[in-house]
Amino acid sequence: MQHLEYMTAAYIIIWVAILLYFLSLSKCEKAIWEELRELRATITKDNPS
Amino acid sequence: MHQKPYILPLVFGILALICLGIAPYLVFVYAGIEKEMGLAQKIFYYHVPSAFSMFLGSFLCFVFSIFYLWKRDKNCDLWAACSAEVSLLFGTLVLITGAIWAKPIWGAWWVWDAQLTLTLILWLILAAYHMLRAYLEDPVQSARFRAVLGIIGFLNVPFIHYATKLWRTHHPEVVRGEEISLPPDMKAAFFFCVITFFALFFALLFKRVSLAKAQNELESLKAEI
Repeated sequence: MQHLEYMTAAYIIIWVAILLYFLSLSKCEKAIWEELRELRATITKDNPS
Repeated sequence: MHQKPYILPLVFGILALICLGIAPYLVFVYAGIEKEMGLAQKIFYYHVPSAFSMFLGSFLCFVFSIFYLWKRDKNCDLWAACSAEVSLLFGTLVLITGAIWAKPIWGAWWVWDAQLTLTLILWLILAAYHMLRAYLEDPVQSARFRAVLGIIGFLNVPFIHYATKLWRTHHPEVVRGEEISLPPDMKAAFFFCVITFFALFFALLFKRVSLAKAQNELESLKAEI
C-alpha cells in the first residue's frame, strides 16, 4: 500500500471541492428562485390585468 | 414567465452520478497498481481528466468570447464566464492533485517545469477573468476585457499539451500524439474517468448557466420595479 495517504488526500480534495461547489450553486439558485417567485407575485398583484 | 431550466443539468448530473458509481471500481479494482509509483499513480485517473475538463472549459470560453466580440451578444458573455468559472474549479483540482502526486514521486510539491508553469499561468488567467467579472463596474467594458482574456487564456492550452515535446520537462508524457502509453486495464479506467469528468463538467456548467440566467432575470425584474 505504497503512497496510500497521498492517493486518499487527492481523492478527498477532488470530491469535497466538487461537492462544495455544487452545494454553493444549489444554495444560490434556491435563494434566487425564491426571490424571483416573490417578485413575480408582487408584479402580478400590482397589475392584475 | 420562464420555467426553471432543469433538464440539461439533470441529464448530465444523472450521467455523471452513474459514471461516478462505476469509476471507483475501474480505478481501484479493475486497473492494476503501477509497480514504481504504487498507489500514487491512481491520482492520474482523476488528475488528467480534470486537466482535460479545464482545457474544455477554456476552449468554450475562447469560442464564446470570440462570438461575444463579434456579435456583442450578452448570452455569449454569460456562457464564456460560466465556462471560465467551471474551468477554474477543475484547474484548481489539477494543480492540487498534481502537487500531491509530485511529492512522493519527485520528492517536491512543485517544480518550475514548463508544463506545470504553463498550467499555473492558465489558472492565473482564469482567476484574473473571474476577478475582472467581480470588480469592474462597467458591464460592457468588463465583458470586452474578459473576452480578450478568455481568448489569450486558451492560446496557452496547446503549449501546455505539447510542453513535453517542446521542452525538456519532468512531467510524464502519457498522451503521445493520438496514442496513450498505458496497459489495456489502465487505459479503460482512464477513458471512463475522462467521460465521467466531462459529464460532471457539463452538469456543473449547465447548472451555473441556469443560475446566471436566473440572476439576470432577477436583476431585470428589479430594474422594472
